[in-house]
Amino acid sequence: MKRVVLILAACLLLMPAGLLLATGAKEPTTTTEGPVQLRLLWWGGQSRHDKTLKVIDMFQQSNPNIKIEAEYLGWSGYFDRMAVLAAAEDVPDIFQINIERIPQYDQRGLIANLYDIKDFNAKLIGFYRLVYYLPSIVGSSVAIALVWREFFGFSCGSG
Amino acid sequence: MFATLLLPFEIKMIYWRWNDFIQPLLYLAKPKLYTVSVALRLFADPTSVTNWGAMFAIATVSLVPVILVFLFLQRHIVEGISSTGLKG
Repeated sequence: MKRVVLILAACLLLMPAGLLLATGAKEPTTTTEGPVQLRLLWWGGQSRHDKTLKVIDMFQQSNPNIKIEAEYLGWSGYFDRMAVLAAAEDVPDIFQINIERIPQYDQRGLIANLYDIKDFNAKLIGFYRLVYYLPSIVGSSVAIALVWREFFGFSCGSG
Repeated sequence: MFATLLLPFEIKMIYWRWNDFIQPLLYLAKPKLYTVSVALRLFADPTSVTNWGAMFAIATVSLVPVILVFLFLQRHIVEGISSTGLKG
């Protein structure tokens, strides 16, 4: 399951560096069989919505047993919504966050530690190295920075 | 009498609900269900790119129901104001 999360994060290389996708902590740790449903929350403008939805389609085609439920917002109100979801213990499995806010969510145990995933480092090849600096901030690595373009071979603009 | 008093309030309620941002933001999870106030913000992201053209286009369109409500119900609004409250 967590592996699945990581792979999805790998596919969502759309957002500018410095924005991060974090994985929610509450999801089950085993079982990759059977249909899996993951909620994904991000903020952005229209171009990011279009591109991210496209990537979700691509991801679903190659992983038909994983259902991605897209929730998206504009910038305004995004972290209001996140705060309410956190209070309701209903944080999405994968969500966009910026690095300043990671400690805040990490301290409350809302974000999973990616180093708990087997062979995490090996799977990380090709990712922006920012993820390695995170332990110095929060003591663990909880998010994947998003690199784009090079990885996917199409230009995303700054969306 | 009640209708005169309540109708302006109900009309205002329509406007409040139409303009409400924070409640739909908190309660509506599916983008398909977003109300216009939340959906309008989908175009705007000050941290990257805002699609101003589309945003203002939809903002203009979203005014239509507001104007229609006013055009058809303005008699009640005026009545409510003139039959209650302070008159100069």
